[in-house]
Amino acid sequence: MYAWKCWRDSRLRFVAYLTLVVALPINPTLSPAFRLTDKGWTLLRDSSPVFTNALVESALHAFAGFGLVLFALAGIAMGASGVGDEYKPGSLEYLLTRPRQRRHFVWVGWLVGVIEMLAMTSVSAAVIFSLVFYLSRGTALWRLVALVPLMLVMALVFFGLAYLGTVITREGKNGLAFAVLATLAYLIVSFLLQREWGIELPSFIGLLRPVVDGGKPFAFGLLAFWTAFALACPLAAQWIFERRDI
Amino acid sequence: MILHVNPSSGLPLYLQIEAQVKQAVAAAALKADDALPSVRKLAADLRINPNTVARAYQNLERDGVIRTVPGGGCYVADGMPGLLKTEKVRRLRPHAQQIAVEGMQLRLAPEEILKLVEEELAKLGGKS
Amino acid sequence: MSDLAISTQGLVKVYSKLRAVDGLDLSVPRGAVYGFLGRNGAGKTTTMKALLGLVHSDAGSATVLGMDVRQHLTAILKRTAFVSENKILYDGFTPAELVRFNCGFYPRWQVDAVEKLARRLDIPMRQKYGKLSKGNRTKVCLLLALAQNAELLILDEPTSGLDPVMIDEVLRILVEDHVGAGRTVFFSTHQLAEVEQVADWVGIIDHGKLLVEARLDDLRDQFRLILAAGDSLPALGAPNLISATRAGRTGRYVVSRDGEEFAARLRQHGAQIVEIAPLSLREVFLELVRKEEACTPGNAGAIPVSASSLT
Repeated sequence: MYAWKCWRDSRLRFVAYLTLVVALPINPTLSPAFRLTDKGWTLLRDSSPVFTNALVESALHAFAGFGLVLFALAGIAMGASGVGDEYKPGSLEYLLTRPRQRRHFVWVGWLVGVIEMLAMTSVSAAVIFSLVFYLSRGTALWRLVALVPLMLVMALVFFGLAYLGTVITREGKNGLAFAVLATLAYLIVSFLLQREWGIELPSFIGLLRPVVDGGKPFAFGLLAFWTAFALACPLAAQWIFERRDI
Repeated sequence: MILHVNPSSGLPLYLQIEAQVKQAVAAAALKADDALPSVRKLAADLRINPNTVARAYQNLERDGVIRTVPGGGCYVADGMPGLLKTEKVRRLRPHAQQIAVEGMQLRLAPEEILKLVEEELAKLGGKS
Repeated sequence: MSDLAISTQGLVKVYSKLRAVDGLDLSVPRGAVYGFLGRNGAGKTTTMKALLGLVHSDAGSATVLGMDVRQHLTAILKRTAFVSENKILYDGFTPAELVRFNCGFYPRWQVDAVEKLARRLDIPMRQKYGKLSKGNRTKVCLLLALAQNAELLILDEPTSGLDPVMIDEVLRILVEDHVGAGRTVFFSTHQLAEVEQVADWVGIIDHGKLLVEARLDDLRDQFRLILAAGDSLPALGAPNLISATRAGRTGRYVVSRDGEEFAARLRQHGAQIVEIAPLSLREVFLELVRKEEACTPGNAGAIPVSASSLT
């Protein structure tokens, strides 16, 4: 029931961001296939290994590269919602007098977000996969498929930050700001530590690179770290929310 | 039977209901074996607590004004045949005492007090 | 304790420096219709929130339907229906959708009962909640609560924004369907006339403490206004004296019990009793809660009165 309400609140944003994350990587994916003929720009269709490889590489780089930014943005935008956003309107006095524990509402809101982020990452990957298949008959795209759960984890980290921020600041708008500031702070600290002392903080690039470039071993440690972080956010939100007075 | 209660008068509602029923019986507006509305119906019609109505009905039954039938339903009792005259007089005495005390307090003459009581009896038609 | 629907022992809730609830000992019998009265800011809403787990108390305990609020909140909420003071739900949903949303939480919900009630309350079911007037919003909140068929109704200002005709209808619905068969109604309101109609118990809270908790009929039987006249009206102190004012040769006394006895004492001092009258609930409330200036020493403004001091 609460899931229905969360969906109702987020469906417009979901459609908007879904369109964005699907549409933007298309052009860079297709760049090896553009040809200028006397009739204007057309797309080349070719099943030769050279072309196929070029197309697959550009697909992976587009999905990972654009995805890094797009899914972060989408995650933050979608995460600034949930129970934290019900403080200002005042509907928590109604919601929390329904016979459910407070953590039920925290986790249902988060799970709706998981499904939405999963939809975004899978549809985006599916569209890219279809384009590559259509133009080159290339199907050895296991690396694209492998990127989907990684993108999902990344999106959920940002979603979780905004979700937690919304509970902490009691408003979606401020939760969004919280997530953006936290991200910027992390990037700056990361950069400084790297430059001054050569210390490497966990990053997403380290997670994606082994899959996109191949060759290097897969970073299971990083995956575990970021998954734990993504789950820690709703846990922290639950802990805070259970103790608050309404 | 139409009853009216005034919740803000400071007088308990059950007493108001009892007084009105007794008055109706005394004025022969309610005759023996007339049915009274059920507790729930009267409470709903007056928008008051059913417990209040139940209490009034209980007291009326204790005073012999009404009787309840085992299957439910309340009816006006039959002229309280079971009560001896001495008992009736004993019941009325405190009210007479109150009239006497109040009358003296207000410095009314005994004749004026008696005249008042006669006027009230006349209004009720003087029926027994 | 199982014959009490609600019971608190020494309940305390502090906000910064303000003691919103300050050692509250509430006892609401099962099956009672209990009017919970107090000025704005006296602690009514905070008390209700503490009973429903919306706020965490700082000291003392609260028991609802025999269960501790801190440990069995969800079980309590299954059997309790609540209308909050702010009447805020989801603006983007229509009442029909809110009913659908709400009934998902309660398996024993009855759809046709809800429809009947919605018609009686005259609710526009297809307009978005955010666009409804205050009165209509109150009606929707009442609909959701009443349709739950709960053992205990906790209602904070359940008739706010309603016109007299609709208030009357709501009282009728409450009396018909929700009083009796062991169901309890605990409600707060500023409409004292409503309380006088349907309540059998009354509790008056002021500055976080209970001033009085008694059967409404006992209040009516025992509170008395005494008007006296005399050249030298005595300054009588008594535990049952709530207020005393004197102007010239007349004195006005309000007592919480034993009015005849107090009047007799006044007579002994040579005063003449003009009237001994009962008080409406509104008058009792004002006497207890308003701090009148005392005319003479030995009198107090509001004196704490408990049920035991009334019997």
